[in-house]
Amino acid sequence: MSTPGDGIPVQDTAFVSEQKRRAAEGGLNLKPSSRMPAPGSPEPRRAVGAAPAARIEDAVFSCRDVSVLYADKPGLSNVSIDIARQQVLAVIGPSGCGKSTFLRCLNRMNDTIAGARVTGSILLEGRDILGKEQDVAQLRAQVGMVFQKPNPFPKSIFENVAYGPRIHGLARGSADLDDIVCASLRRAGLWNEVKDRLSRPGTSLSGGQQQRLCIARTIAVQPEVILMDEPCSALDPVATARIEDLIDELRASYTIVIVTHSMQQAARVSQRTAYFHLGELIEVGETNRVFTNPRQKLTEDYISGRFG
Amino acid sequence: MAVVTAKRAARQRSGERYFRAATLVAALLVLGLLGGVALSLLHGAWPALAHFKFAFLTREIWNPVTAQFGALAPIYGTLMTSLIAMLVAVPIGCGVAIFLTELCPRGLRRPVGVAIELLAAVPSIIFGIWGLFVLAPLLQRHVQPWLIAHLGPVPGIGRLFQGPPFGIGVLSAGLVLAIMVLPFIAAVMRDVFDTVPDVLKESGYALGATTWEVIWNVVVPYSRIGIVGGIMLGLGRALGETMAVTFVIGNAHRVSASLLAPGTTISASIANEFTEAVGDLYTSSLVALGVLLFVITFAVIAAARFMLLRLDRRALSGV
Ligand SMILES: Nc1ncnc2c1ncn2[C@@H]1O[C@H](COP(=O)(O)OP(=O)(O)OP(=O)(O)O)[C@@H](O)[C@H]1O
Ligand SMILES: [Mg+2]
Repeated sequence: MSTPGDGIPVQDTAFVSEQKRRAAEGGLNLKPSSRMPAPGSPEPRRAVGAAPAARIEDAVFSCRDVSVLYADKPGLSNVSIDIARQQVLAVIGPSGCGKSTFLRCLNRMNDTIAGARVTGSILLEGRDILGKEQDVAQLRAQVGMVFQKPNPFPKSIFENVAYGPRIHGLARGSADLDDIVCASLRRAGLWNEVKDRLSRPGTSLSGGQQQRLCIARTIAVQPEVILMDEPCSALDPVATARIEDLIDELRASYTIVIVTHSMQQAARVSQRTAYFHLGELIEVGETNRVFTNPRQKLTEDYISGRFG
Repeated sequence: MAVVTAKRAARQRSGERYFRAATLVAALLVLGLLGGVALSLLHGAWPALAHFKFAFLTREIWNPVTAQFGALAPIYGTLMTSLIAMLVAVPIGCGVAIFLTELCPRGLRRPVGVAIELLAAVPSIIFGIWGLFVLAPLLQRHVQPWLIAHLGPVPGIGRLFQGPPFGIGVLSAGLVLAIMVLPFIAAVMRDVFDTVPDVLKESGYALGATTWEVIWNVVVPYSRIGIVGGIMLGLGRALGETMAVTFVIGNAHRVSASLLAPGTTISASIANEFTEAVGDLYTSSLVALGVLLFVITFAVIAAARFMLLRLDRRALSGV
């Protein structure tokens, strides 16, 4: 997979020096030429291990050379990226570029797809989550996920939120469970709207309320990271604005990764933005910087609306 | 040009009209047939129903010599064999369906699914022969003595497992029925479980649920109405099944406490005795049995359809 028109693949000098250090230690066998390609030289863009990644101190997630194959068809190629604590990372890119695939690597949801293979390494708080020893259920309790379409369980509003704490045994007694449900609904900004009808089916709510219910359901498990895959694409502007406000509040306690098709949304809610193209990570950096001063031609084309 | 088009359109319209009329006639014909069957059944059953009145439903006696007929034994046998069949077939059928939709490796899904559908198509007389010559002796020699020895002395349910091991009887008929409706139930359940949206299951997994928790807490609640519908359809089949049951039930007009004892069912009685029924009251009583079966199965199928309809509507409204 070669991408035309890009110059320097590595953005952060900190990362480059880190690469050098690791190479020097023998951890990576980089050829000197692939480590520092001359600008504009006809280098193969991605040499082994030299994917663009911004090193971040105290990252929650660090992904290195993560690739996904769907029955031998690549869905993601050599993505290396760090995800900062208590920030919102927006993932943008044209349809089919691997945004969802990347997101689903972070909580091993790709495991549920027959024929999907994930390689590389993903460290969550320094612990490799791709290994066989990783308890997937526990990982997913730590890394929650909100989906594109609001999809409450066929249960009451209360039970929807109580489900996660129940299966993970988080509540000591029913009063405790009530507290967790109440607190989660409050955090999701839904409490006032549903407090009188907790026993009604979750599906009786409006689309925007359902999505906030799904967020409440996710935070009831007390995750560390929340993944959101186009959480607003099925919602109207008012409901979208509410979710965006909510994301901004949640950032204080959670690390959030949000996939979005709306550049405005990415700009509004995120501190960092990653741009994907054809399964590769093209650029990642401060949201402001990426939108005002993209370093890659592909990113610039995308955010200026030339394609995608 | 325009004239030709108009002509063509007119021809198409009249063709449409004929087609519509033809299908309407076909539909009405079926309805008329159904009504006719019901009416002629009632007409045939009338002498017996008028003679025995309500007691026809509650009496166990079935004596062609004295012309005393009561439907209790066939009704009991029909309901009991169907109940046994359901008790065995529903959990296993559900298990098969869950395996097929949730756990089975992709490559195996189709072959196993097709095999189950083929099994559902085996003619019932084959099951009858197999039940009589293979299953019944097996039960008689190995299973029933064990049941009698171990469950017989238990207070309460013990009464169901007492008496000599005949091999044929209510239990054997119920088991043969179970094997017959199992593939049917599994196939319907699989279709029902397939209606559960993937995103719903995924959000279960995303909360850290295990496969078992997702099945039990998401798949089953979502498809509960369809599950009931599938059970009812299977029940409808079990209630009306004739051939296989006639082979293995023993055909005795008795209501026995023991499941090991021979009994009879409505359809088995009719099939067995119709050719030798002499006297108006005897024939009429058999027809009256037919009416009872008609009513029971009709009610079951109607309930099943109704529930499946509700499931469809819910699926449409995109829950
Ligand atoms: N379950 C799957 N099986 C096979 N291929 C898949 C599967 N899911 C995704 N892919 C492929 O992987 C690539 C990336 O898909 P992905 O869903 O990650 O894209 P995306 O960026 O999320 O797109 P969108 O914006 O449309 O949601 C696509 O080429 C897609 O066809
Ligand atoms: Mg996607």
